[in-house]
Amino acid sequence: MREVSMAMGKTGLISNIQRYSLHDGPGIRTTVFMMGCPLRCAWCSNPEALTTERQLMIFEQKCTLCGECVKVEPSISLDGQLKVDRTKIQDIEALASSCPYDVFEIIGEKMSVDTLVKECLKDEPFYRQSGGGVTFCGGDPIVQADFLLDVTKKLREKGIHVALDTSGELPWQQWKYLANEVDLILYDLKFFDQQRHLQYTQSDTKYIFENLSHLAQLGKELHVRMVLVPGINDDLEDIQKRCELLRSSQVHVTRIDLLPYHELGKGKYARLGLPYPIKMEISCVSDIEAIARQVESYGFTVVR
Amino acid sequence: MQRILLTDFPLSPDAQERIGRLRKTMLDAKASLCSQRALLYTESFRQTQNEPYILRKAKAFAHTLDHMTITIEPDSLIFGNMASRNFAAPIYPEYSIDWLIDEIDTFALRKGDVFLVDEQVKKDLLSIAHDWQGKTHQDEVRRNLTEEIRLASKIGALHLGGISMSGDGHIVPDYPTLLSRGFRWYIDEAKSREKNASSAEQAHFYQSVSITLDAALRWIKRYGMLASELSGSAEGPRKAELLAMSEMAMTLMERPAQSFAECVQATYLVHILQLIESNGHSFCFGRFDQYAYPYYKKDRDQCKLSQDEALELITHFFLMTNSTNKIRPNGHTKFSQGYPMYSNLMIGGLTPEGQDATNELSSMCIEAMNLTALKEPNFSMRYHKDTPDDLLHLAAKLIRSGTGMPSMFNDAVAIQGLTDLGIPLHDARDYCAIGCVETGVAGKYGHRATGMTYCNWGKLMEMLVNNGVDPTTDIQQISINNLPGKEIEFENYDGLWQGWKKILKYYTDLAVESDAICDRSLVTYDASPLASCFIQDAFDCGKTLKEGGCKYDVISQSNIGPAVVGNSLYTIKKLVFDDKKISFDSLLEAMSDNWKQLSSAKIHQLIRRLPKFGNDVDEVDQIVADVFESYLELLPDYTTQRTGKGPTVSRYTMSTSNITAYVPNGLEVGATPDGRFAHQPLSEGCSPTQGTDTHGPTAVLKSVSKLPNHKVAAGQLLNMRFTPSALSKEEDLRKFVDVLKTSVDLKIYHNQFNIVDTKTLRDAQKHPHLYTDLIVRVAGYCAQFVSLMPEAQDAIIARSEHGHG
Repeated sequence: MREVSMAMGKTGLISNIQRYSLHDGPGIRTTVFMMGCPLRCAWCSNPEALTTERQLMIFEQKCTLCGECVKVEPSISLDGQLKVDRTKIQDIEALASSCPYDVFEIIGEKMSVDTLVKECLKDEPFYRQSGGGVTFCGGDPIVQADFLLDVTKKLREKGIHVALDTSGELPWQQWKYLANEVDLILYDLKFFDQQRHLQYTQSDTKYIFENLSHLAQLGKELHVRMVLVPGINDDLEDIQKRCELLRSSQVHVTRIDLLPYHELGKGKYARLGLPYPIKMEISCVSDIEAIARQVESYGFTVVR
Repeated sequence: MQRILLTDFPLSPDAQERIGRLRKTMLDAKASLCSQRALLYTESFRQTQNEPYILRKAKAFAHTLDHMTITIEPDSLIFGNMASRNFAAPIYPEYSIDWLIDEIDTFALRKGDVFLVDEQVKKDLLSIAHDWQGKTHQDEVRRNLTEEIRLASKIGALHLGGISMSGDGHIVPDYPTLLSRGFRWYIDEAKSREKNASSAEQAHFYQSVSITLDAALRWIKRYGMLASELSGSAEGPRKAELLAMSEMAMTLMERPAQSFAECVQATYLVHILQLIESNGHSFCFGRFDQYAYPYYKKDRDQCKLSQDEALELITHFFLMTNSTNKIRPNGHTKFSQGYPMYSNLMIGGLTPEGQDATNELSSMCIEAMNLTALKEPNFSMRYHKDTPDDLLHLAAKLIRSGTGMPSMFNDAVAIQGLTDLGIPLHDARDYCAIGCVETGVAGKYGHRATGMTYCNWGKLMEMLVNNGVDPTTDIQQISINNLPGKEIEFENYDGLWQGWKKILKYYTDLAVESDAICDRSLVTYDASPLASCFIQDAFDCGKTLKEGGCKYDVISQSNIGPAVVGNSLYTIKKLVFDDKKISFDSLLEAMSDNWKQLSSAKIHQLIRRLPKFGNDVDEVDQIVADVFESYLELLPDYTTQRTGKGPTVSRYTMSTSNITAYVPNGLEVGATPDGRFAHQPLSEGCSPTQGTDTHGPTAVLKSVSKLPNHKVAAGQLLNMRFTPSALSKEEDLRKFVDVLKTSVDLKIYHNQFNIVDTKTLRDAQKHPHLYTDLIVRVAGYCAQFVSLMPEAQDAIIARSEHGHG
């Protein structure tokens, strides 16, 4: 289920903008969450940003059964409890506005290049002081590469440092210009093992691995990020292979972030009407220290 | 209980353990009442019936020092106590007595700031009540208050607070000068000046100074004798310590301070003496690292003092400031919870000449604060673009440790504020915090940089949309459209804005009048020879501060809720006038039922979606800035009671130092147009309204940067909360320091931080006994979280939490 970069003209679809981001690149940053992603990682903590369509989140506990929503969306049933058939909803905008108690929230805001640039420039004094900047993540921002290319150019004209947090799982030609334009790439490496990659992300590693050599050729600085999901991708063997891959691809890696798995996004699935993809209970904890030592043995700087 | 050192300063395990013990003593001390001062003052006042009031006060003070119980805390290197027990509050019957008698049975039953009262104390206090009833400062104020002010205070628009029933406090003695002279110099000088006095008042002033300081010297010697007595039964190093203490006390302040130890001890004793003299609050230490440094350096250069000894002394000094306490009426306690003394101590900043003033004591004070981690002293730091990174980083580490201190002052903004008032640059650069965030020039400012009459802007907003009528009491003191009753129609935003200016001016005028009434009474009742003689140029002029003895007389009121007002005005502008989405009447209706009915809830939804102050959205931030300007433009027309009587600068300025007033002020205000629910807290200082800032700390700072911060020259309070996880890593801490540095460029006046997560605070509410050492930043000061009333605890929890993951 690979998506192609949308022909959205010069607007982008953004799920959230988070200022004072501390862990998405150097300094104080503004992180822009772009919508759309070629992967379907089982542990994804931003399920609202998977597709390039606006999403409806439903906060059932806020519902007072007042009946206002039924006036615009007759398919909704309020027989003792709120029941929504998402397939029948005609107009999410009207629905969201109808509820005085904010039971319905729309995720996804269309923004023009200039609007987003303006928003990103708001924290410029903090970037300058801290050596920070703007990070695009998502979803996977390369899905909206054309739009972001324009945004990035304008930001860099103002001297703003731009980072791109991506899985790299789209053909190089779709995002090479963007890759070339940004200052730093945060590159996600989830598995070396093909089989497990397919099983847990519903996608193969073809472009991910290929693009590493393109990035090496470009000489781009990379921070590699490894989300560690206990029992799924935190075995030393796979991590060792990922390190070897990085070394052999000769990509310019300046640090590796080890990110422990968390379930903070779990609540969002229910509100989006989606099942939580990880079926098994994850109770164990990754041995981050051992993993860090292993990664360091390849000469990489590890941040945990 | 022991804390981990932040710096490389040496400190032996024994010294650390002793600090831990002393710290525990302070944490465990229960607040109580002490009747000694009240009894001794009464006794003395009975003997001095027909004498001038200032002499009566001086004699009563001397009588008290001669007879009060003195103690030396078993573990402490520093001596000096203000009451008969640790953390007991003395009583000051000359200022007010009625509330004390009325509430005497309920002090122990309060929801917050509980005081234990034993039977004997109760009996003592009841026995002297008659001496004072009708003869206090508060009685004098009551006699003079106008009906208008009474009504304004009944509806909750004004709150007369401390100045109507207490002394002024809010003062920083000229420590450098007094340490270099000693008390004896003042006594000799006062005696000779008394002979050449140009008026009877002046003679009385000098006489009262010599009575006061003579008694102070006798009092210090009493400690010397006590220490010598205690040394008899002491053993080992403690014996030697007590003997040294005794030796020091016999000559301390008879002459200039001889050593760093004398400097620290004398600084603390002057503080205690001031606390005994007056029941005001915010007696402060000023720029301790600056005036103590010459003593430190001299001792260090002569190898008379090691770093460990210096650090231990400072730490004990800090700990001992937590032994002090004062009690206020319940109604006022709601405004300032957590037993605050606001004894501010400041480090860092620029020298008067404009160089960076950082020295070894600056970081040593941070370490001492880290080791003590208690609510006093109220620890502040000045910084500027050349403040060493190491010092900022160390301050950030202390902030991260969860003490909420230091609170950070931006030199560029504070100094500009003072020079704009007419204070020479040299003096402006020597400013310090007085109390919470209020600033002034140490040793040159008279009492009360801020906290005169409080004005509840939330209430003003509520009355504005009701044509001046208070919906709770139906009292109407002013009509916006000049017609009686609630009915009002605003044609456009400008009409609404003019209405705001009208109601603001009306109540500000009243507040200034009420300030004057209190101030006139304080000239007599708060005549304070001790506080006065240590402020320039009172001693030379031969008059008290209240008579105009101080060099700079800059005072301010306290205005609560600018963000609520700004957000409210913006709501009406946008929804009623610009977008015409709702009618003014429907908004009023929705407010009056507190957004409950469906139609009201729909309006509330529209309001929720509007931008609020604190999210870096220009159109609403600008309106909050306008609200500030609307008050600032009133000030040049007001004068103080001392204007023209001596001070070279004498005027009003602005401050948003609110203590916890935003909580009880909110209780008196119904729903407001910004979507705030009835009786919820107002906004605090210049901070966004709790929970409405959703875009993180940088957005808050950007919003605040659009306010006329430097014109709020008595202190602009900004309170922020960070989650502990946002500061836990070393690189996060560096980014936090970058936030501080960016604040300089953004011209933020002041930042203070709470670093405790919501989970911990909730748990502390449930299990207070497990969290006695949890110190939180309340407003411009810190307090034990568990000592606060539940409403104030909730308000702290509701403050938006910044920093992610």
